[in-house]
Amino acid sequence: MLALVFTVFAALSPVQGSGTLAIQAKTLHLGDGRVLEKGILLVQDGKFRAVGAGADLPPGVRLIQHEGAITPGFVAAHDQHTLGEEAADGTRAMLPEASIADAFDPKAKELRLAARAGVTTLLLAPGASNLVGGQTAVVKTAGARVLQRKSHLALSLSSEALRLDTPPTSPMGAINVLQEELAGNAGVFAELKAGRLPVMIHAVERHEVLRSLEFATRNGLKGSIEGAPLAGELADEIKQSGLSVVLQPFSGGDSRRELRAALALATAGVPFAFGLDAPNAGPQVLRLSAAMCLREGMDRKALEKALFADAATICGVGDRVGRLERGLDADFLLWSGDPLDLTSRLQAIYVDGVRLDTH
Amino acid sequence: MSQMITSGLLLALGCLPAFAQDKQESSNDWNVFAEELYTADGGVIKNALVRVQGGKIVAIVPGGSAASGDDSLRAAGMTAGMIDLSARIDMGFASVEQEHEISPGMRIADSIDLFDPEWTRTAKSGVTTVLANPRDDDVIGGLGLALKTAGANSVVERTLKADAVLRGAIGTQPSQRNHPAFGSPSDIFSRRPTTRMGVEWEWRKAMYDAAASRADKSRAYQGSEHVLAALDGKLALCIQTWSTQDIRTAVFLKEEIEREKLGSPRLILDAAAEAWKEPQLLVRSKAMVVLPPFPLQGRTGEGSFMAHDTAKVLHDLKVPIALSAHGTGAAETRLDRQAGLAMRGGLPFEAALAAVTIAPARMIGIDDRVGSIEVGKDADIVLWSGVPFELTSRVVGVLIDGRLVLDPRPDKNSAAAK
Repeated sequence: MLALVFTVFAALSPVQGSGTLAIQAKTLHLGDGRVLEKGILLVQDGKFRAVGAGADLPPGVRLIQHEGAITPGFVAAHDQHTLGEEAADGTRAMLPEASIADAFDPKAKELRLAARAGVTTLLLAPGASNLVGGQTAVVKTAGARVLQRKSHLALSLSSEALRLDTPPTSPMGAINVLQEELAGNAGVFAELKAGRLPVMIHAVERHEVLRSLEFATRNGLKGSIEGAPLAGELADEIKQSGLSVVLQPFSGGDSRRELRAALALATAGVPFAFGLDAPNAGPQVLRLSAAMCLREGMDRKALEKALFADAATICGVGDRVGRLERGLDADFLLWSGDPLDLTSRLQAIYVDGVRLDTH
Repeated sequence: MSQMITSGLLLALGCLPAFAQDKQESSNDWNVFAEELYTADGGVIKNALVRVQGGKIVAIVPGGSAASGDDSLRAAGMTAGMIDLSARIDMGFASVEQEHEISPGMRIADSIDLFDPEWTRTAKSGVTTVLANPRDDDVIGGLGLALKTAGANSVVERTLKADAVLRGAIGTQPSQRNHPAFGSPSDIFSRRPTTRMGVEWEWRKAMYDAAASRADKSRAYQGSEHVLAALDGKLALCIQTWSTQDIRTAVFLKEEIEREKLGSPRLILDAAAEAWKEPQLLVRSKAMVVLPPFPLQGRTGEGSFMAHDTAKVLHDLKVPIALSAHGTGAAETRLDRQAGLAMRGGLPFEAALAAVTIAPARMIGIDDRVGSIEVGKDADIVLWSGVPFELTSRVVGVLIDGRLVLDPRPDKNSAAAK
């Protein structure tokens, strides 16, 4: 692994202890929207030890120069395809204690592909066909390590969760069931009410988004709305609810209406992030989505937050990943140029301070 | 009426000149002027100027005039926004919870799609408030909701009265598609009533269990507190009853509850097309009636027959009536046209106007907010090109909570069409 580092940065001096690394890049994209010119990253023991304009390097550590940009690893705030058919249980509407952390395949090809596209952190969520699908989990794609076992309780208030053979059969029935569970105040529902566990609510249509907002507001729930391409048309209402949004990535065929809705989220100051659920699309669409938003006129800072810091916060791991900041996991990407310029190449991926073998 | 004018005058003398008309489309402060303002209480105010501020009616000035060239809204006629207690803007089978045939705890507020274009069509047709109900595929479907047809993207903010009625049905709809279970029930339709008798049995059991739960908590069931509230008359009981036999069942149930001293329900019979057949039953039981849209050839829902003078017959016997449109499918069936058809059957104009405004408001207890043009009420106003309900008249302007939903100014019609 170290040998690979040396091949890219031939001038690198011997590394001290377990993986000490100091890199100065043309630009450091901190992940929260700020960009540092000629900033220096100091990595030690898998964590960022220092991020700044100047850093006191430990003796014997040489500063590597990178003629490009460095960003944190991408954080994708939703994925259910990794689980395939295992993501949904058709026998019951409610599986509140089910945990996806116990169910996903660590060898899944999707995880490997995501890692190689620079998506270093990924939220795995149960499928949307259960009213209460279970608990989401956050994994590091490289090595499929679970970063957080229980990030949200996944709810689905979309029509996908309503079936005529299994109650509830209607949105009002679904809300009624959830209200009763919250009133029962047991298990994960007690955690929801106490604000210790956020929800991730799958909603597709705008009326489903509104219903989700009103349900969350009525019960003082925290969390995110996921899966609604036009959620941004309700940006003010979402802002008021305090919830955040997870969008599916854009691909070339998406309508401008959806892009404008995403822009509205950024304008209203609603924290949002992208998921990776676009069918038939690889994890590279995350970058494509970002470029499309930029072209449509989205504020660049808001966009970078969506890809990094806000995505990590939405996943519940903002204190571990998503920013280039002292103390956080040293997950970062080396780019040949502007990371949101599609002609830039991803040159190296580091996870916990170790370069990922992409060959 | 006289009180209305007096209070209007007092306010008008106080502060009318200060009211500048310089505004954006988003404003909800207006001077609304009409050659004739039709109150639902029997009067017509000539050259009425209605001032709207902060979404409320703050003054009514008879004999006023709108200065030319300002931004006032003006039209030939003005009425209060219309109210439809059976607008049926629903989400199909998502508007009924089919787990149980008795589902009094379900709130239609949680099964509403505010983005259905039907809301805009309804609002622009002059209907400013509707009662949304669960679909009648359950015996007791749940709790209806009175809400405005336009406004904020929020069911909560548009709500006039949550839990406005307890909704249910008597007839063939709640037993349709059901079948008896052989062995163990195989789906949710295999244990529900399959006949009118079964439907009636479900009603009676729900009511008696709820009544018994007063003394014996073990008789309570999910949502039975709402059935209890309906028995006590605190919550109006709104039941779909198309035909005579179903109207009878509802009335007999009400009378039975009263006879047994279990309560005193306030009964609203919705879609009571055959109410004209035994109107004395309605007089006797003090039931209120929401009529379905007038059918072109008499025959209407569940095989019932609605006479052209149904509204007149009930009105003459002082049975409280409201008209309804069951949606805006065609211009010919919308609520203003229903009023015209009721008039063709002999209903006087004032009664027809009341039947689409103040009468439905009183039935569900929202007349403190809507149903007439009165100082202090919500600025829900309809402007007409001529005399309302005439075949040659149409709705040219609509305000809901003072916000323009349909702009009567010819050159701005498209700008406000949102």
